[in-house]
Amino acid sequence: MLELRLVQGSLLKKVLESIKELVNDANFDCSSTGFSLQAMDSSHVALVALLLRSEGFEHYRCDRNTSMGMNLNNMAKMLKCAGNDDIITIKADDGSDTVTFMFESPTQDKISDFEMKLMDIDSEHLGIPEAEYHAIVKMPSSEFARICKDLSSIGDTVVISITKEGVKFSTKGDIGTANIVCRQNTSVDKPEEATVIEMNEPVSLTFALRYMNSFTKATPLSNTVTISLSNELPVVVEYKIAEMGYVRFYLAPKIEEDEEDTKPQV
Amino acid sequence: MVVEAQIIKPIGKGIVHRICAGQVILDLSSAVKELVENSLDAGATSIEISLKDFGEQWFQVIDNGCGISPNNFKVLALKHHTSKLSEFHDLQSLTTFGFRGEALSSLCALGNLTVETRTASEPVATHLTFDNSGVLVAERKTARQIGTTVMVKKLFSNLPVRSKEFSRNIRREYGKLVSLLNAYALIAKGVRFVCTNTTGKNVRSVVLKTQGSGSLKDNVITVLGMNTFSCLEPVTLSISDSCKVEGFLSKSGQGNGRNLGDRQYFFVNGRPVDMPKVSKLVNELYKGANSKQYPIAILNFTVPTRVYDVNVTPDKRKIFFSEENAILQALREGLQQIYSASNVCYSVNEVMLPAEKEECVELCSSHGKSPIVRKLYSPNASCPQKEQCSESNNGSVSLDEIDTECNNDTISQDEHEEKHITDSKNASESINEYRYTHIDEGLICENDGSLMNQEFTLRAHSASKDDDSGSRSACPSSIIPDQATLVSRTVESGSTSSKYSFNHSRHVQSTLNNFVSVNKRNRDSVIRALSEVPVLRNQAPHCQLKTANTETQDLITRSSLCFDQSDEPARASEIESLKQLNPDNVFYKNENAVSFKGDSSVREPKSNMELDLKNNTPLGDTASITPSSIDMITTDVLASDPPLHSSPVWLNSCKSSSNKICSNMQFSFQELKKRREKRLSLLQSSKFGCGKAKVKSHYSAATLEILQSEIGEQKERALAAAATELERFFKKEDFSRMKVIGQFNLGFIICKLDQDLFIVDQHAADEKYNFERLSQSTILNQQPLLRPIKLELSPEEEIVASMHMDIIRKNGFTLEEDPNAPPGCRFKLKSVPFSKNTMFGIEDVKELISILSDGDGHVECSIVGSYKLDTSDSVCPSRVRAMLASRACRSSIMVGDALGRNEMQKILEHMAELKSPWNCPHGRPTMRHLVDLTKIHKSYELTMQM
Repeated sequence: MLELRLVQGSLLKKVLESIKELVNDANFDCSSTGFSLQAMDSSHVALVALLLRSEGFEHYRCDRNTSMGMNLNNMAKMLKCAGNDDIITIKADDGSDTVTFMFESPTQDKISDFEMKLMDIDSEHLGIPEAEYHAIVKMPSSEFARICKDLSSIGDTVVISITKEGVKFSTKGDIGTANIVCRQNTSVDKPEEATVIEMNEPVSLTFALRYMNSFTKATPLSNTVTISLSNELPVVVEYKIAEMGYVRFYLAPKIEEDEEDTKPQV
Repeated sequence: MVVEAQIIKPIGKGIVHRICAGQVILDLSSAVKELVENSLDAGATSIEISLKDFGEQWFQVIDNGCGISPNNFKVLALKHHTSKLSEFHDLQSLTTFGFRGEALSSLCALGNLTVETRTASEPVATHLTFDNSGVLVAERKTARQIGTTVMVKKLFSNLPVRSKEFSRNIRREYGKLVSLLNAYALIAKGVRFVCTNTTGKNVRSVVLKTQGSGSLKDNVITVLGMNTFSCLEPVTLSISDSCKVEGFLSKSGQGNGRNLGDRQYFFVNGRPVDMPKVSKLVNELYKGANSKQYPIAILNFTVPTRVYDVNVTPDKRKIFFSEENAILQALREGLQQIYSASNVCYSVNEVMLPAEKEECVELCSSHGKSPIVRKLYSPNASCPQKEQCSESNNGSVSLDEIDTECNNDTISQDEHEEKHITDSKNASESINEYRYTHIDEGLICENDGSLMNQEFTLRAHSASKDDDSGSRSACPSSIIPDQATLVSRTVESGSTSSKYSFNHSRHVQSTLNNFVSVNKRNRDSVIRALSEVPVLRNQAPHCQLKTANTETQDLITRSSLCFDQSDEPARASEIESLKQLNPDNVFYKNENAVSFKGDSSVREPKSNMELDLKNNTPLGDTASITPSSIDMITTDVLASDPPLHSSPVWLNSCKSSSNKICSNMQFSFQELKKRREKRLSLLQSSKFGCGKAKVKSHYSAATLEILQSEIGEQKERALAAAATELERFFKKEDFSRMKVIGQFNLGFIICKLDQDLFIVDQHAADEKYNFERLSQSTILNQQPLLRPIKLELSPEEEIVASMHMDIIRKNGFTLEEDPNAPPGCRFKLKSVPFSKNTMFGIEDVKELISILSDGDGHVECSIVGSYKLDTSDSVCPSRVRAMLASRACRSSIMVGDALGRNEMQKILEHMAELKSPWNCPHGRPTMRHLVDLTKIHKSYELTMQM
């Protein structure tokens, strides 16, 4: 039997809103250590990794390891019925083909009970190696979201260049070019508004802005975002989830060679 | 110098051998086919085909058949040696694949042939080596299972040109071979097929592998895949008593077919054959169910061996049937039942039937009107006559005149009654009025006749005009009863027989009959005039009355016969004059000729008038006389007196009547002239207009008139014809020379080039410019995938992909080939292109591969519909083009945008730079020819002259 009780239910709502655009169907893996998810988007371009540790739940009961296949759009519809201050409980019996979501208002005067059918999803568990990165940038998540949104109105791709002076976001399109530089500033009073850069060697990679904008839908989850880059490796855009976990997005960098050869042959 | 005659000698055996061998074995697939068929004829249940470097180095066929007995070793590869055919008529009962006995000998001539074989009665196998002429040169024992292995090395090595061609096209040959082996694998039941290819460093790959199932269904699943099989449906048709068709066909609906027509396999009694007519029939019927794709077809025809000829070509793939048409017709009917789209066609035909019935109803109704009209006008009573005249009065000129005639009739009748017995002058005046009416009616009849003739020649009239014709035909019928009434009133005889008809020739007959009646009375009136005079002088005895009556009747009969004979020349002249009028009305060659004819036609009625005036006098005399028996008796006695008495009366009446008639006739003839000239000018102007249009107009397909009437496929054809015509007559540089006249309806630009006006669609023109600009400037970004996606391709598609890796990469896709993977899973997709929010994927790369297959010379099919690609070397997925078309459309000038003159001129200048400026990316025309100004000028001048 599985029974998870989360007092801060809005966290789960935000998690679903952040990943449902990328992933249609996914398997949620439940074990004694926590509630996790790994899924790739339908184009095999981006990967989502979610972890909610068991310590973060008010009540966490998992008798044996289970895997629940869900359609994330349907799950988001279910969670939309919960209020922002509701307590969310997830229940599932062993071998059952349904999952139950129970929403309790803070004063316990309203209790909702939603049951959703589970799916059989054939997906391999993806091993993500622990990599060491050449550069790690930590910056306010709202700033990162703003940058991605602004640049996507100019071009298709963003070049992220990290040097000692700071991190530079560049793009170019039909109407011109755009450059945004964020300098490292560790002297601000509030830690969440600081931009911190750790760098072993300079890195410059190009990514599709379309996917970057999808990642920034996780901005409500955290005040800060961590961007880890390494040459020839996918970028990792990570948002912490309070004190109980994280959601990470992986995206392969765009190939730079032979760009002129990929014109449509109309 | 005298040239010595050459001696004719036979060609050497070896040379003959080499000449013919090259015609039996044409390529790799025909070579392997012969070996595979030998294995099948040997009863093999396992056939393995091995290739080295796609068959360029060597290939071999390994089977587990019955083997070859040692008795046959020496003659195995000799020319025309076989165990399957003894007599020619054996062809009609053959069931084996091979029978010509020339395959192995041809392979000896073209390559190095070795055979290993063992029969059930042999403990070990024998390895045989043959030379180029098929002679066994070496023999040694070897270990082998029961069966035969045939290996051919260095095919075509002794034909240099063929060998080079073979090496250059080796991959294409390999593709054809795999396709052919698929055909055998599908149809051979209980036979397991394996085909492997070994390349460079002994890397062995399996291309085809079946389990040797005994059912066609299992073979289809194994060879074509489960996904393909789910798109097929089983087919069983009985063509005739002894002919049956079994197999599988694609289901209806989009997506169940293929973009290529390559997967169509036809068999006759299990033999793969080429059946282009059947293929064409299947494609044609499937187009109704799925217009954009070709069907997958696997059809086996089971027929008696005697009804077809298999020995048409050395490779035996061409077959003639003795009753081909019957087979095709039955097959068509069977397939039409299968594809539901055929029912839609049938329902469309049903919709057509009511329209035809309506036409029939109209024809019946138009026929029905005539009898009704005939009945209405047949009574002789004057009151019903008047009512019918008023009923038919619908405002036409002819009917108005009829109404006037009715009034004349009334006046004449009153005068007649009041002055029953009057002097000769008054009576002649009354008769003159009758005659005037009669002449006018005659002219009206002629006009109506000419109108009817025109209507006969203009068969394109619509239904409403046919109704007008019906109402017009009522006019002659209403006129004829008037004449009958006049005659009956004049003579008071009570009845006159004359036939009515709506045919013009019948009408002439009827008129002549009326003339005959009048003439009869003319003679009778003369008699009466003579008998009047003696009454005043003598009184006859009463006892002689009876005899006189009898004599009078005889005299009347003779006079009528005499007048009939005299009328025949008059009839002929009337008919001739009317015939002359008809051609004038139908053919107008030029204005001068028509005017001349018009003048001559005006003269004709005058001559008729003079003739009628002469006839008036006797009628006048008749009116003033009352017949009596006494007068008739004295006729015989006083024969010499009548001329003297009648001549003064005739002269007087002639003088008085001529004055009145002249004044009236002039007026009516003036009107006739005006009407005729007006009609001629209209006909002439339209004729000239048509002629000039044909001669001078360059643009016949690219005009607005033609476009309006086109629908469906005709529309596509019309668009293509318009584009072709514009390319031929119109240079792109001419766009720069065009002068803007103005904007029309906020959506079109009217522009002028020399003496031609054109209309340009402002949205379509700007959209095409934006489309071509975006095509050149847009760069597709390459997005690597975190995890490559496995593509599932058929063997042919894998070959095409490996041959065109560069084009696929230029389109933004990166494929990775894994030589060790099993067939169908050899390629992985590593990166995909994207542009803004449009991401491409597996479907697009598969479509790209199928497009590249088209380019290799496979069956052509238009993926982009009827729209022609701008450049011949353009290869890209259709979604890329659709993306660019969508962006171009949204960023272009819209209908409803008011444009300044400079903006319009700029659009035209942009069109000069385009590769293909005739259609927008969605197929809408950008420009059409509007009018030729020189034609308008000439038409204007013509109007001024008239």
